Amino acid sequence: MFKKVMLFLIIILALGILPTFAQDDPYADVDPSGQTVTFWHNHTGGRARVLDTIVRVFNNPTATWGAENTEFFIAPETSDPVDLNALAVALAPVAAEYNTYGITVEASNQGSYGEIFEKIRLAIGANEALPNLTVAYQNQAATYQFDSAGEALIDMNLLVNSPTWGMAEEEIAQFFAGIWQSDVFPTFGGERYGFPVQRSMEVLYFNVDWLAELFANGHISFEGAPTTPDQFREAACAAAANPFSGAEVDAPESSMGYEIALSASNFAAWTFAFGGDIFDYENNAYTLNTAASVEAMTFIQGLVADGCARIQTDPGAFTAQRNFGLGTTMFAMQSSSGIPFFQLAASRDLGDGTLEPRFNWSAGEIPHTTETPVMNLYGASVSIPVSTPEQEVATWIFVKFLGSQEVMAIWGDAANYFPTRADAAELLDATFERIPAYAATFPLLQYASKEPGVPGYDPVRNEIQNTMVLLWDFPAGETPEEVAPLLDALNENANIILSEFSN
Amino acid sequence: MVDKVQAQSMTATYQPSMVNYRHFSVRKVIGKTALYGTLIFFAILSLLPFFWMISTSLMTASDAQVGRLVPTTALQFQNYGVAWDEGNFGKYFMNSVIIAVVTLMGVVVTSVLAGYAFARIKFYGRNVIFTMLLATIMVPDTVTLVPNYLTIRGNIFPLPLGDQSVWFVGGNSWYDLLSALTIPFMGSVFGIFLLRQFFATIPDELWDAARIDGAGHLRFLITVCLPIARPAVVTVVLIGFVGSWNSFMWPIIITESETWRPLMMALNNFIEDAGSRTHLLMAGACITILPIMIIYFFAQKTFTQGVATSGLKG
Repeated sequence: MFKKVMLFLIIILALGILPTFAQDDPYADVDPSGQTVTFWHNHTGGRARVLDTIVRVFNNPTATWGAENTEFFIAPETSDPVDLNALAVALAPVAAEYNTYGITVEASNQGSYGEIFEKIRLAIGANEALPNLTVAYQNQAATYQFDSAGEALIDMNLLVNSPTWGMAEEEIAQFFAGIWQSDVFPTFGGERYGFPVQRSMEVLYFNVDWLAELFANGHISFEGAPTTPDQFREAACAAAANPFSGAEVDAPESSMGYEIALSASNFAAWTFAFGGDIFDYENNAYTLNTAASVEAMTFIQGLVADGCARIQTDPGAFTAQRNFGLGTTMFAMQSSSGIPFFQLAASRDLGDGTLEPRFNWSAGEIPHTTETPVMNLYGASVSIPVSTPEQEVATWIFVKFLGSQEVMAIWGDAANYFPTRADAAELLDATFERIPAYAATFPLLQYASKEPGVPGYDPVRNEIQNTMVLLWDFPAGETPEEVAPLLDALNENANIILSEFSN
Repeated sequence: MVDKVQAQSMTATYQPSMVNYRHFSVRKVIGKTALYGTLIFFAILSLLPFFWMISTSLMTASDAQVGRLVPTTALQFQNYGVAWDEGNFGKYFMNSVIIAVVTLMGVVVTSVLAGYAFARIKFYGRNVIFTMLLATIMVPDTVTLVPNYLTIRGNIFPLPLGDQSVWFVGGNSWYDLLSALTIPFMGSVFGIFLLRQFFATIPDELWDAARIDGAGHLRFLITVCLPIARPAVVTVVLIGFVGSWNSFMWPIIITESETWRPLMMALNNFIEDAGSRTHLLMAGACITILPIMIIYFFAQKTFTQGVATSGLKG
């Protein structure tokens, strides 16, 4: 009898434990060999060519890459930021480590982030197959999950922590903690819907020579870039009153301290810099009307009222970049991924493709009231939509490759996005030397804060933008709208939208 | 004496008219100057974007980046070659031509037949149907995007000519196929409206004469109406061509591979999230508008006639 009871207990225990083991690694027995992975991305021009090279090498890691082999020679294009053949040679050994399964990735541009978002939402609505891998902002990934009742994307924790396919603790430790966590969604039970392969940051672009000129002439009391809002105001107002000696004479717009971009990322960046946040993650609610937000927006409104700042005339045409390049705008706040474009704007092309800087410029932290800078770090991750376990693992292998130290460094060098792991910096010395603004902003990654990755953030971004217009677009000499009531209304609307995406 | 009096009187009657004439002439000159001045001003204003586009297309990247009006270095004609190669214009250009030609064939057939029916055949509910058809012009494209997408993916009803084929044979979804880019646009409400307006102006006597000769509606349409309606048909073709040539949002939603992507997608290659390569974008834009300019150049007279005769106003 005792034996029977014991046997029964053992069977019960086994039945209970076995599924638990199986649940630990649902991908344990999956064979990804020979799978084809479709990858939707938004990159164009030189960045797309670099990504295409990364993909080509991943697909053929054992090929003889380089100029000698005509079959795998990559014909150079004008916009290539680097020698793609040399890049392929450097990548091949890394790819050989990852792709031992004959996986083929088919990467294709599917429009901008917004257009890809639209396409995937339509495909989810139509119950159609999704790509195996897609670029997605955190809020977009959350929206996909909301639209599909949690069935569009896989929880990448299962692959990250998989004993068979996962990543070593030491490797995970290389990722910046804030960035690594940004793809984990507390609102979806802590599941991971993205993997950070790159990031950008809202940074302050400034004219170094103009600042030096203002200091030398006694118009400002500090040297270098402003680090506090007071210094920022001082420099912006001084710049508006004292044009840059190196400014282009036929510039279409007058000298200005700060050219404001109407974007939610800008709103968030200033709020962070004033010590606040725009979302309460504990209570799952927007906090767009906190004292920090009100203070930050009042500060900018004051700059506009005093003629030290203006809204950029045509954001679609990147007029802030243009005016910065012409030497008529001292400060512009934009994504760090715009570094190549600012570099171009602030240079003179000698006609043979050689760029000669017109003046010295750089990028850095947003002036802050906090002890250390708080930077608005953002950027699309890559998400894996649900497919077959074989395709999901094959996709994950490619994602791990993209997230490797070498690939991140190569991508950072060529595309000027920031890597998300600290050890990539070891391979970026040449890049830091070549692009000082990239070198100056890289250390700010440690001060990262983020915008909310919640479903429905896109319409909230539009609401924020509309409010920014009300706050800052007023004729000179007129009394501007009061900040607090406008932000109260904005916050209320934002939380209504959030509730619509929560049911 | 009489002569003197007569002469005085002639002078007396002549002089005021001279003053009037002078007065009238000055007014006329001022009026004409103001008119031509205004016209020239608006002509320059409307040509300025074209000038800027061409000028920017010949600039260096840094000149374009700061929005200069004229290049500061030698003209960069190579921008056109770079844009053509990097934007894969050869492939996209051919796709756009095929898409436009196939679509326009459909547009002409459906517009001519429906326009004729609405204008000349009396049937029950004709005006109601025509009004409903016109009302669809008021529905924004964004509203119909989702239902159109679902239809093309075969979610509303199975589509007979799609899936996994290059042309028109296959399963039930038209996603990423030529059919998705052409068939939905073969019915043009505007084309139907335009031709209906034109066909309505054809005198009934012609129809009566054709009937005496034993012609039915189809023969009357082909042998009598269509030759007269050439300007209106050309107008429909031109407007349809421009619409097809410029389409961007629908192709990006409904295509996944490069197989059938149109020319506008090539321009997208020069725009990034944090900036654009404006000099190449403008070179690409010049290449893109060239066919429209050439077609309009040759069809200008007929087009103007078509607009005038169908009662369209700008």
